[in-house]
Amino acid sequence: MKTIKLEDLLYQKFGYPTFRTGQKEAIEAAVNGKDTLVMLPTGSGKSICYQLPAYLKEGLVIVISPLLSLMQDQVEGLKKLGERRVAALNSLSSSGEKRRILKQLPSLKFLFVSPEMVQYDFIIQRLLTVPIAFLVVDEAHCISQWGLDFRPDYLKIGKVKEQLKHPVTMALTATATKAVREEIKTSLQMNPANTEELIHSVNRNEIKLVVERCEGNKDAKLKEYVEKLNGSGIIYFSSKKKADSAAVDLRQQTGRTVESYHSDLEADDKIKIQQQFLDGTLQVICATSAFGMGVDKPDVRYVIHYHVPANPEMYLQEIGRCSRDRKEGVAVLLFEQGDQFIQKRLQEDALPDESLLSYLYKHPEKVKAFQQDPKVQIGQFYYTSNVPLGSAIRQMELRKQLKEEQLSFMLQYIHHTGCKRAFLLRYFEEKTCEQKENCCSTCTDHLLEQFIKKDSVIKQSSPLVLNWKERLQDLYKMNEQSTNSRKI
Amino acid sequence: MLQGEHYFLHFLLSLFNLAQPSKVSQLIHVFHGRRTPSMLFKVEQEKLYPAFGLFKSMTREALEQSAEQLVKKEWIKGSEQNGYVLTDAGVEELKQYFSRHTYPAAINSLTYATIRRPFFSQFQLAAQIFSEAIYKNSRYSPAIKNPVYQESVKKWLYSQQQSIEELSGKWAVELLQVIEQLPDTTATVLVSKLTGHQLVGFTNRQIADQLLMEPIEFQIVLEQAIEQLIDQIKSSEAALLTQFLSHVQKTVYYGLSKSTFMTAVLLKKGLSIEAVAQKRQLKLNTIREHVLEISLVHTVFDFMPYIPKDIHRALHNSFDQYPAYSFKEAKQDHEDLLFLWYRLVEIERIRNENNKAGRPFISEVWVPNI
Repeated sequence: MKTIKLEDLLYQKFGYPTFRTGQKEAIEAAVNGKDTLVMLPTGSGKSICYQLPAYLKEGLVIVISPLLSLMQDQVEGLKKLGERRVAALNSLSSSGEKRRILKQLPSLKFLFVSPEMVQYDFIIQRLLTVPIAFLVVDEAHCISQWGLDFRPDYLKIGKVKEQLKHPVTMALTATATKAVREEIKTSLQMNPANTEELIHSVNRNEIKLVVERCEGNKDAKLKEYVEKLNGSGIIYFSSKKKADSAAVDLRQQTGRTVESYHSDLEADDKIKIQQQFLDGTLQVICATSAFGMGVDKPDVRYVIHYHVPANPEMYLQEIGRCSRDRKEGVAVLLFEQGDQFIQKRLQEDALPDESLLSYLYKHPEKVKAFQQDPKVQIGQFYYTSNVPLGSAIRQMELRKQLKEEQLSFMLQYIHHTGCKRAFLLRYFEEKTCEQKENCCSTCTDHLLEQFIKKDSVIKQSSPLVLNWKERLQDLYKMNEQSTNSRKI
Repeated sequence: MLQGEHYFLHFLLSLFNLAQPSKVSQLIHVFHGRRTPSMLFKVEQEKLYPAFGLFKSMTREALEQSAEQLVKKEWIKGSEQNGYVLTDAGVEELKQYFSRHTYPAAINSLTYATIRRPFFSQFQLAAQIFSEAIYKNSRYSPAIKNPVYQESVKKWLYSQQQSIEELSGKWAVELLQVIEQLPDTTATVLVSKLTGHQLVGFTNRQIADQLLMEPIEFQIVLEQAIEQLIDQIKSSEAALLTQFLSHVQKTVYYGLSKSTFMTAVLLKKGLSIEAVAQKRQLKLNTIREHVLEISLVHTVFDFMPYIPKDIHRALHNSFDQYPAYSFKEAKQDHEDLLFLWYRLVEIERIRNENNKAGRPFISEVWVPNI
């Protein structure tokens, strides 16, 4: 394959003149029929790795994606690029829509599908009637990190691959340790002889790492950061209630435009907040982990963690929403002694304990098939997969231990007196940190100064103007005169 | 007091009345929008329309706590076992509070209870599509992501005989003329939510903040605004908007459950209750319950073909003489009496009372017909 052709195609289809690190190798491996495990840092354009080779291979590209919102964003993204042969199958699709999509399968190029949906026999049977170019597993770390906690269905993708007669598979992730990568390959039945691993550093030099220890002044510190830091920012919380109250305080105290974002918001308000953040109307989002995936805003200048994240993978995912334009940004972790107990409590609530597992095994008929509670989902998964109760209990104990270790690593990161970046990278078996200047809060004094323009005047948010007539005129390009003259 | 709790407490208080005891275990079903004939009847009888299906994820525990607060304040009295009724102090509190805050009195039937939300979501999407079309932009992110709604709007657009440019112009003109007829706050609430070309709609919290409302007050005001918009479209000459509304109504079975809608279609074709039961292979009682649901949701439904004329007359006479005439007493008077007939007459009498009193206004909402 000639290099020039790939680059021409990249420009023609996506408008980019050159590939980013790792993209070209992943594309070439896929086109050459190899299974690939691609690990590229957040914001590095992973989607191109499967979207571009789709135009070089005959057949359908099936993309298994963990989140409905992510799926919708990817479908929209492709449509915006002029690709109409794209559809999504998930729990929100009506039966009519599902029928229509499955009927039109031969004319589709991309099918985004949820892990639950792709397991249905009628869908598998229909997929077997069309040529499959690739099977793509997006956010493949869900197989390990989230797969166990929230998405047991991700663990069944290996079987789906088998049923689809082992199409060329590409697993994509931004954050996975060696152990997780092994888990992904095993679970997806990737043949070592025909699998290429394209592993790139999870490091993002442009994101500066800061840890701030607080002593009863965390809210004041947060306010100080929001007042001083320039540009757009995301603040992550482990609690919806705290995200709400912080948004109220920051709105009142800093003059910035701030909104909270979490799962309790109405669906259309969530979209409005995302769109206001993207167009710059909103400067700061106080969010839970519900915010982020699929929100591709290039100029987020800072990410602050108000609560300690559960593990380094999640931390890197969340701070990775910063600086997608490759300009410098800052990730601040605010820590106060005792914060770790909030995470511990959340972790205890995430996995089924021995008594719940025993109950689920003893009385499977008493529990409804589709449960909302992730703890029950996990228990049901073990039961339906015929894992003996003793093994399931041991697995849970191991998982609890792993979670404790991950949290313990985050605490060590906070207290570490050496280079924060080097310490974080060690978790991902990356041994060196080549950055000498402006790296982290221990390597560089006054790291934040470059993000604070002392003479800058804080852009105060202007009050919303709710003049319905003017708004309607703007929406439909009507002026006062035409408004008055129009008749039904 | 928590954000939004103040309005919610008063809204909850407005659902109690002086004579008919209400239990938390009943009201939670109203908030969840439970569609049994007895629940729909309670809503009709006590005019609980704005509350129906309003808080689908509210827990019974949370509602019990709020009811306890009302008891502590002595605005309601009674017990969960026997139900709670309003006190005089409660009536006074409601008068005071709702003289300063909006009460959704415009929601005065169950007709649009399950139509409002799907309609407004699809309305927002159509409004955005036409706005972008006017600016000739085809690359934008839809404000409504629900694929069922997206599919429905697409289907409606494909069914149109005109170009998108023509439709956009019509939509804009009709929308302006419909909105102009609405109260100013209603117009503000509705238009502020709309997203279009280079204009992102505002969130509930943002609009509530500007209108100095608590979030829950705004949520209820928005429900009322959507109801008013639907009413206005219905009574206007806006052909395109009317057609759009009809399309959405059809997708949600005109506010009925799917099974009841299927029964309604057969009844409209002239089939008797017995014939419908036979055709649909369902029990007679199920079809009778469907008739009740249709009568309760659609105030214009003519239920006279489903009740014998002599029974209808006799029941009215008995109610005239003994307003508390019970089904048990009626059954003693008419051995073959069906509950359906008794309930239909009750519904008719409630509606006649409402008509005599005119459109219900706030004081009547919590002081029922005693």
